[in-house]
Amino acid sequence: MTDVLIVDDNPIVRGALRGYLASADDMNVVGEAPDGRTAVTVAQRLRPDVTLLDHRMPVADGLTVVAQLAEHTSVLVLTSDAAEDLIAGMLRRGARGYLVHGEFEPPELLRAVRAVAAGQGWLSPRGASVTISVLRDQAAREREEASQADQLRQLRQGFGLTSRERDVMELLTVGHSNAAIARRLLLTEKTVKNHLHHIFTKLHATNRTEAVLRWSGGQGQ
Amino acid sequence: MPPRQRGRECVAELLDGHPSGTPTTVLIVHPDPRDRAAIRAELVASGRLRVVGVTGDRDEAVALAGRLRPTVSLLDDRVRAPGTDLVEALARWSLVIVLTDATERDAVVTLLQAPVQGCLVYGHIEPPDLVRAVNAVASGLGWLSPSAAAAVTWAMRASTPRPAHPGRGSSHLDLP
Repeated sequence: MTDVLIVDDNPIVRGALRGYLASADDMNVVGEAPDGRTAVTVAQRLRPDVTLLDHRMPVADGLTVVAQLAEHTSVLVLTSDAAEDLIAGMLRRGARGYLVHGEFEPPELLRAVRAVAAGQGWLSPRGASVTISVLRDQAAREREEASQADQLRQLRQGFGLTSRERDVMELLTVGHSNAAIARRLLLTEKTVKNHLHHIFTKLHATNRTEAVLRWSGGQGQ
Repeated sequence: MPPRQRGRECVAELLDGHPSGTPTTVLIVHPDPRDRAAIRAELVASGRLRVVGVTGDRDEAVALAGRLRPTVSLLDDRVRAPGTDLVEALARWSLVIVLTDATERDAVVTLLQAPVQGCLVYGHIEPPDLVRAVNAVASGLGWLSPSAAAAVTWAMRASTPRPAHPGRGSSHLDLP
């Protein structure tokens, strides 16, 4: 038996869902809630296997409570709102599935509830398409960031600084004065100046700003 | 009824292959001749889909896709193209749905990095799924079998804040 909680502010929708789920032998509607806050209280108490969650509701909407609900139950979002941000937000906060009203036939609702109860997921066509593209964009961004970080690492290695000079350079980059660098590295200011002199030569820089710029991958003249 | 609502009812109709203008054409790329025939039969039985090409060979698949420009290509991921990316090649001419045995979350998420619009996982494909997946993808949406949906929703949960470098946190953002 799969225990289901129905969360929707529209009593007609709740009634229709209850009636439909009741027609399946393996579904047991254990409760209903008209808003997000009530849903959290009920889910905490009843720990239903699956919660059908609408988004737009008074008091607290679905997105606000989905993470809390997900601690007690598997959340299957069932809403007419199919905005990309909402789909991504619900899934990031713990929803196991996303169904958009009008994109599925009744039998699919049962499959979705069963899938989510069994630890699988369920995404209606729009949910699937949004999720695929969000994940793909994210992976592309991460590859880009990784390759930039890699390039910067190589560039820095190319300058041939000693490890001490790197220490000085890193403190310089975050805006420390010579005196502050000296204190941090337990050096005299004169030694710091010496290191800076060598750093400027290796980085082909004539002043601190230019050195920082080059160390960060800039092309400053 | 607001227009958006009506639009969505159209989606439900589209998934079942109700009239939608030009017929959707499909290329089937699968290593097993009997499975190829079964997939073809199922798509054809829907009445709204035209199977324009069937092959188990990767080179022929790319050639057929280029020549026939099918709306959707169904690609079994056992058909591989060493050195070249078959999915990329097919995706140049059509929308790609991949058929796979992969159930491991990482494997599915990796698979979806390729330009595919859908992923049907063997063992989780119920009779209407094939046709509905093709219709969903042909209408610009996506399709994921329950185990693939589990994999991507897991990846979404893991992606707060950054998924690809779990051990690394966001330290690389601290680079000066």
